Amino acid sequence: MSYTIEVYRGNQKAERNFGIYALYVMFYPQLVAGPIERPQNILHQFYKKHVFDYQRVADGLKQMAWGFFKKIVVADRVGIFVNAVYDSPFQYQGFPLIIATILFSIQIYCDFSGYSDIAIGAAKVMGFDLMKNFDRPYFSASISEFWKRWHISLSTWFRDYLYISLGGNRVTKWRWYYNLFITFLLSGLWHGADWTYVTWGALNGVYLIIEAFTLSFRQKFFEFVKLKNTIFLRIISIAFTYSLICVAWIFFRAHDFPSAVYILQNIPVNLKESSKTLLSTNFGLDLYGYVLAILSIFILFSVEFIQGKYSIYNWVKNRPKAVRYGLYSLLILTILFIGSFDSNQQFIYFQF
Amino acid sequence: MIEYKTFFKNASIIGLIIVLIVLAVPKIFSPIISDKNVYAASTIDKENRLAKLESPKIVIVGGSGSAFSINSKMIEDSLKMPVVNMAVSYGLGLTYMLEESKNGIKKGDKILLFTEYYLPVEGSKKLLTLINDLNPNASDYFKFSVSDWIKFRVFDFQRVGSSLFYKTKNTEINDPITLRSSFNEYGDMTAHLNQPNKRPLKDVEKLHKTLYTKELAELNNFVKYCEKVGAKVYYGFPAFPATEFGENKEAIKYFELKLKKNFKGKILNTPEANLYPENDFYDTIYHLNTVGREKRTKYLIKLLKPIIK
Repeated sequence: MSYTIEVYRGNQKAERNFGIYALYVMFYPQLVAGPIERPQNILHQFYKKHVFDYQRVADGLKQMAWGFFKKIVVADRVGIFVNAVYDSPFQYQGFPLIIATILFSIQIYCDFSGYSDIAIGAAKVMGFDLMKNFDRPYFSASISEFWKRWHISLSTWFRDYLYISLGGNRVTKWRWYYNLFITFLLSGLWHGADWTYVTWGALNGVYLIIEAFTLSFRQKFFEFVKLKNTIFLRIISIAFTYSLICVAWIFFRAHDFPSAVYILQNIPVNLKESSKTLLSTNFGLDLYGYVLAILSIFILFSVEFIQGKYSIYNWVKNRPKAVRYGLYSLLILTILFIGSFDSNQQFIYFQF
Repeated sequence: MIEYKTFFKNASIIGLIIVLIVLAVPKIFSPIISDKNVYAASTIDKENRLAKLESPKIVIVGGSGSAFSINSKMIEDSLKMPVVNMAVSYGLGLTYMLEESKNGIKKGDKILLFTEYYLPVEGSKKLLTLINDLNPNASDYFKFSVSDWIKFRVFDFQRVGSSLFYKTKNTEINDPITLRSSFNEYGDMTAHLNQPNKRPLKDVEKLHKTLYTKELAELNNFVKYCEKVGAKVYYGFPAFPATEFGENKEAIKYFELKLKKNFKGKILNTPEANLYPENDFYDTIYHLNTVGREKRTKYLIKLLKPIIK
């Protein structure tokens, strides 16, 4: 669609070489669920001569390995717990629902961003540059920031082809809110013709409207209580944003609307009793599985946290050869040693 | 060109280091990871009983549903024919279950096939890795590809982690229902008997219609083999919770239809005749508890009487 729109808008010349066009349409790293590329970013790359570039191939493979870590080690293991709860939510209250929802937020992130890393890495190995699709989204301090860092290629797609076409924010305040809401409502519908997806999209739209509506008030308030630009406020904002995103994920993951409503209603119910259920019920993971899940999540977010301050890539690059090779081997061995290979879980976004 | 060569040289070094570690670590830790009392090792005892029993005998083949839900001694005493329950887990796959049973089937034997509604032809690689390590005959019962070999090595490598973890924690890996020692001499699981039911029931998932082409071909090959040696094969539907039946009726009836049309052995009953109240199940939708097991065994005896006569 973006090719058709860009050609129609005159931003991209129609591709006359059928072979190049076919390669562009069928470019496998982005075909199934990879970053949704604009033709301007990628079509011209098919005309370039691609020669073997050691650094590029090595970088691509490293990014793929990190993607596999996210998918096989983190997403597929936590997905076992999530499936156990979300496949029969009416049997649970309180903690199992809370933990399954938190784990789903991690699962979908690792599953999808893992796929994106594999796709971008595979393209890089072949000499192609694809756009970044995720930028540590759970470290966002607001919903608008989250959507600038989550599935960036789809968010910008909706921004460029729908939101801006509706007038974006260069309209009256109320029309702007309407544009935000419609964009997210349709983004939900894009994921599937189901009330759960529509509600998920609408909920994000409502979050953004409330955020925009209360922005100046919040700024004044935080200035007044001397919290503006403090680390404390940043941490609170990240936690609050993450909680709101998790509430929306309930609708995204639930099998149907009544299940989602049940989960929402029963999350704060029977907390004391449900903590016992959590310990006594088999959710598909044994004690070792739980330890691996916690460990892998810790590794993931530690890397992401450090990545926000320093470039791990550059740090590794400047180590002696033996250390670098040791680290690459360690990453692959970790995937092999603690990866969840028997759960046979498809990439979540393959269904969309 | 030089870059190309350097890359492959360096990648080979890393690859070699990884392969060596993956192969060496399970060898180094083999005394720790080898546990002869795990559930899968029960196949050794079952095979021994199968080989030892005189024919004619009753051979029960199926998944864990049959291991948990049948009282073989009661059948043996009632029908005056020796029984061996070969059922372990559907995770072994049809090929494994059937090939394993073939070994001891002789003239006059009655083979009772009680598969779950989910009956994969190929088993879980993780389970087959484990069984391959424990049972010296195991590799004769399933097709072993190069990719299987690689997966087996990776699973062996992973088992070092879990074994070390439980060893250092001094905790039992499995609950009694997953131990070899919990099977009785007939091959029935007994650790769940007189235990409180576990809820929610596991393995609850919507069954889907599939073509069953490979599965039926596998079953019919088995029937053909048994007929050749003079044994008879009977198929019986698994015990299933009545509460789950409505939701899965379409897929189950479709499976029944496929069987009726294509299965070369004799079909003993209908899915509806094997529905039990949810209270009769122990932990999964296929594992009956003490009460359910008793009911099912009595029902099977009634069903088998005319056949055994």
